Amino acid sequence: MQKVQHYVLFPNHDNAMRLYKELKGLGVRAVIAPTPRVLSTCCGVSLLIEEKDIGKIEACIKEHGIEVLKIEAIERDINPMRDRYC
Amino acid sequence: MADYRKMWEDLGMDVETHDQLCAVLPQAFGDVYLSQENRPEGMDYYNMVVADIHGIRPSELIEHQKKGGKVFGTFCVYVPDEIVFAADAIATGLCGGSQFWVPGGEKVLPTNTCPLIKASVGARIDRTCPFFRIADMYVGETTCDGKKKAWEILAEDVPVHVMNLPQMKRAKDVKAWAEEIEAFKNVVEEFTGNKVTAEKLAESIKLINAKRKALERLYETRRNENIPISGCDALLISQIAFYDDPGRFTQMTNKLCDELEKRVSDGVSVFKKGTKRIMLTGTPLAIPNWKLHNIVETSGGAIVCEEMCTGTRYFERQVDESKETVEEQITALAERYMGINCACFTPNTGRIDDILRLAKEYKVDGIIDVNLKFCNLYDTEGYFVERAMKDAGIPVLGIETDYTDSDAQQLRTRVSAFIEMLNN
Amino acid sequence: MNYVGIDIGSTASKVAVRGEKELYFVLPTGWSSRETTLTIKEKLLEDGINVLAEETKVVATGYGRVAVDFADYVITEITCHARGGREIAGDSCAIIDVGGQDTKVILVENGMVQDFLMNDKCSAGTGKFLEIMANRLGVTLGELFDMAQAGTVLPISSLCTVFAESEVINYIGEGRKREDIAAGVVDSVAAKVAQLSQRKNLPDKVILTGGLSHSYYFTSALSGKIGQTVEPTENGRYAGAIGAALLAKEKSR
Repeated sequence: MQKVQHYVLFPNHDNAMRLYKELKGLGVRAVIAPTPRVLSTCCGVSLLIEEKDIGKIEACIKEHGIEVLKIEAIERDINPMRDRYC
Repeated sequence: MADYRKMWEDLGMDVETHDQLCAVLPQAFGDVYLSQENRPEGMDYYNMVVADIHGIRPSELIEHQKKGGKVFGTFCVYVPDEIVFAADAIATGLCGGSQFWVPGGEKVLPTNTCPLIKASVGARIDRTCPFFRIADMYVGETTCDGKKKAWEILAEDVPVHVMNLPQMKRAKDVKAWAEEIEAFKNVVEEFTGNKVTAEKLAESIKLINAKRKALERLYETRRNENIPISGCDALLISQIAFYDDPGRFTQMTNKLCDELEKRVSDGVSVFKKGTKRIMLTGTPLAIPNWKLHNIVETSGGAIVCEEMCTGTRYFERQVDESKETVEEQITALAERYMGINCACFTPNTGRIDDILRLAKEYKVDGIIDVNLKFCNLYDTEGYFVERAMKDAGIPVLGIETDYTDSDAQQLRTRVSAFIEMLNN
Repeated sequence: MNYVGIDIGSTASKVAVRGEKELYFVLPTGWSSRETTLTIKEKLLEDGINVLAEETKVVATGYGRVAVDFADYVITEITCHARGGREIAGDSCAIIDVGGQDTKVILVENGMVQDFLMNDKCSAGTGKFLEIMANRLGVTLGELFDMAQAGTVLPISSLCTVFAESEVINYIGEGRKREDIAAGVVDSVAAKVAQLSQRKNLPDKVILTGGLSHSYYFTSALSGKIGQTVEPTENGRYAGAIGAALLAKEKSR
């Protein structure tokens, strides 16, 4: 399991959906995910991507003029046995 | 990261307190959902809905209101959404599934009230959920004593219409429910200023039937030996069904089903071969209550069906689409809705038949009968459920729980022991 | 080969070894399951058993089972108690386990767990209740039982430990005999355990495991309430650990 996860952060939901669609078209895997709290202080959508695809994704962002805030890496903090629900 | 703060403030929400909920959601969602391997790609849509659960859909509802439309908040699978949509209004579920709202409810309700009611009342009173702020009118029903009194408390703060659900299933009770639907139609017409015509009602019956069919299709994929989707994911979809735009939800769920059906024909399963198939029966699991599903599926079980309001009780059976007058349509609605088997009815043997049938259809190895703490009706009915399963040779584990995390370890022990028992 | 069963309970941690060596020991769990686990590891090493070695297989069970990081298998206390109970009572029996934190009723049929029940999030009807009441009366658990045998039962009707404690305080205030209060306390636990047990159809053979398992006084009180004989067991507190050790052997085959 990789230790670091990469997220693309957006100013709004529409841009997230645009990039998601474009990446899908390219066959690049991106998972729509809630923005981790450490990266943001409000609820929101971001894209969970794989490190190896970053180059392709950056090119795609540029090509289609999609507004993104940044691509950020954080330590993977996912634990299904944590039993902290909301 | 779209900032909905302004919208929440305009709704009169307690934004600071609400932020505490926003703070824990991404981690809980990550633990339960992003930890799963080989999730269907179609789940991305539902990920998006949850990621901005208090943003995207609420802003759509507000747009609708700006155009003069009304929003009705409902709490129960007996309340016919068809009537609401036929009056060009929107129905949205309001049941609270988080411990976050419970202390708010406890300010006015006895502690020994079920967490679902406490959370729902707390979400309103503490002003910490946009859906509860947006709904122009709440539609209650008489499915339990706790709810009946809760409506009176809520009615001091927001318009509430209560539907009197009969508690027996004789012909005259079905007729009485039809009369209640008729009365509800009149309330909706007056509140919205829109007439519910036979044409409009036919349209909304089709709309909601299509949603039911999509959910049925989703559940059918879980009957296969190769299970193409986790129980956690299926639960999330069931939960979102109560909130989302029905047309879009149907479309996205059918799209997911295309993917799942392909998985089935390709022999793809998200569980290891031989994983024990578990059905959950009992009280509803309102969003974001994912605790039990996560515990079962991280303890070596696969949940293949939920005989719950957030499950088969919500979508099984369609409303007859062939009726032409409003009166006939309302009778058809009453018949469909009175076919739901809730523990508030006496007797309720139909529910036992449902569970036995579902156990066969979904080839379940064991049943976990879930009771939300202080739900006297389902708790008592558990006696019959357990006995009937025993007679049918189906192992059953009874579990009582609430929305807190504090019993997670005990639940893990029980669930693991149950699965160890099934594996032996 | 040595097969080690480690049962980390809420109050006591039990260890049983089967194989080349056969030994049992118990120690208080204390505040940290992890610390206790380390102590167990060292204690086993003193006895010549290296839990990390190839020729040692370890099964961890009990509420602190996940803390045993060197375990080869982690199995719930239900399955382990059933296996241990089977060893003591045979292939078809019911095991009533009164533990420090919860009480379990396990039905074993043809050597398999057929059904089980655990009490809910409540300490009434568990060892915890007895511990609290013994503290209140200023005696040890052993003394509580000795006193109870000499007393006449005073009714304690509350279902909740907190309220039951108030009842006990009332009795103390009224100047009732300590023996009678103690008898009431034991009787109340027996009543609650019996209530839980009677939710299931019990077979003829019923045994008691857990910390109270050797107490004839408690089993006779329990037998009276249930209306059939509940047998005390000499090594009953080790039932979970013995079961774990046996499962370690069976699993590694």
